[in-house]
Amino acid sequence: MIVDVKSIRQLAARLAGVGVLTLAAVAPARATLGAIEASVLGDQTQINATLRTVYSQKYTMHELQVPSGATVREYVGPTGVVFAVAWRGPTMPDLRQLLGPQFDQYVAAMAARRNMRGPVSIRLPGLVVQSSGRMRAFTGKAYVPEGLPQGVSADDLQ
Amino acid sequence: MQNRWETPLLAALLLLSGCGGGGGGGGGGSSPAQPTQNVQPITVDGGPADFPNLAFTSVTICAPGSATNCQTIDHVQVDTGSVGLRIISSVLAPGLSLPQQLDANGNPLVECAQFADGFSWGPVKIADISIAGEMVSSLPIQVIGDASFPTVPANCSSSGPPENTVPTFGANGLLGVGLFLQDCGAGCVQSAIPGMYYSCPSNGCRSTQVALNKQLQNPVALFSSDNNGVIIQLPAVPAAGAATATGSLIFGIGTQANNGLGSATVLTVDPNTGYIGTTFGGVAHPDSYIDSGSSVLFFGSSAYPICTNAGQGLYCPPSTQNLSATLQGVNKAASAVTFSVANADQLFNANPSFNAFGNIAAPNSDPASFAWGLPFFFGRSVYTAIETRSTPGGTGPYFAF
Repeated sequence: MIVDVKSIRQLAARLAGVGVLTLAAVAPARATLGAIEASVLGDQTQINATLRTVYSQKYTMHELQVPSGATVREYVGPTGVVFAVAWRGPTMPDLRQLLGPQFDQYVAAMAARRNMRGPVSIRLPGLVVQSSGRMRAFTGKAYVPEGLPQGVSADDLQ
Repeated sequence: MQNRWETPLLAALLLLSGCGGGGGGGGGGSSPAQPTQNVQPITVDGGPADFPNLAFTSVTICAPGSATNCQTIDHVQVDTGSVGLRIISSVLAPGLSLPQQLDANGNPLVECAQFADGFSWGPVKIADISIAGEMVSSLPIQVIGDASFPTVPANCSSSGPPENTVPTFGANGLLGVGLFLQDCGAGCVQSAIPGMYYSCPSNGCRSTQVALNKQLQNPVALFSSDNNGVIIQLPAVPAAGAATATGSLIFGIGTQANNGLGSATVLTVDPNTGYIGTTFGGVAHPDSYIDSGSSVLFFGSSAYPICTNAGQGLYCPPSTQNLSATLQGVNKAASAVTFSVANADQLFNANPSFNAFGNIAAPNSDPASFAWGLPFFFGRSVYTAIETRSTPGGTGPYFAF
């Protein structure tokens, strides 16, 4: 099922309607890996994005699109927690926002990476970050391996 | 970590060719001019920061209008995956003062160059450049890590790790000779995109729109001739790799006797993304690209274990895998290639001083992407044609090989 959501209020109503969260949780939170679903709303306002939500049996996917054409998809599992983010577009996304406190871990791990340039595939305890592409066309994703709902593989998240 | 070969002789040769080649071109006199010297040597030798599988060349930059206030920068990485000349500030001679590029309001223009593996922050400055016999006057270039703009805006640094120094960048600079005329293009004219260009008055930097002609430019497109694309030629390297590999960066496609397309197949690319298709293992990879700036081949395969030793992060199949794939253009043209993936731990451990490998690969985050990095270029002539430019093989953008 694909639902176009035009406003935060509509989304909140929808999310409340499906019983995923309470409206009291809607704060200026940021949707980071491991955060609650309501944080998607904080992202939407922060990056001036339009939002599309796709519900499936295994997860809910919120797709945020910014005017430049870049999209960020935030995947929420049955527990109401963001377990993966994926991006595609002409520029890189705000990884500090998407990864939250784990952004610093990612940067530290990259500093220790072997001497090479190009796409990234880094596996840390509790976090996988993958980044591909070059100027004008980037894709990537980050996810919590232990957080993937049953029956969902990393390749499903694009 | 390892001891790398030092190659002072090679560096000296590069310097010589960088300077000497400059005399031939540019005059632009009236009569049928001699063909411009359009070949610049490239080398794969580990470079200043011990990065295997990067292709380097040298570029001479001068203060605008000056024939004497010049510097030849060696070990500038040749990149078909980006556009524009970028130099790490620490390698610039203190006396080479380049003017600052200003935005429409007269404020300094500073760029956040984004890569899949990090970002590079620094001002846009103006320089005259020459490479082989080709020249560009008043070219906007990026000076990465310039001390004049020490504070990186949060929405630039949030795209990944910083690559503002030679050890983190892997090179003294980057010569982006890719498919496009500008690095950002129309998107940055239309809106102030976070993480791209910044207007930096004294009270801080904020994202800004930038006219096309103030953005970083594909220097090749601004040459007076040979300005429709480039060819990268590198020799095949042995299965064990090689200490160094040397080849040529040739300017122009079908503009001189030495840069014809020959029997190369033209694969046109998506005009927005530069993507071509790859069919590998029976699976379509529509987000594929050819990129001299990526160190290895990047594609997804759960069949190969990841190296745990010297080749950490790369694929380590128990034995060398001989594979094939088909690259397809938007124009439906197709070209089949064969390639190998060796055990990177074994390769690196056997020859720690080697820098050129045609058979190393790593996972790709995007299961729809096959990134044909530098190993693809060994043993081939790879053509990159610039958008809107005419060539004997049609109008760019395209790749051909």
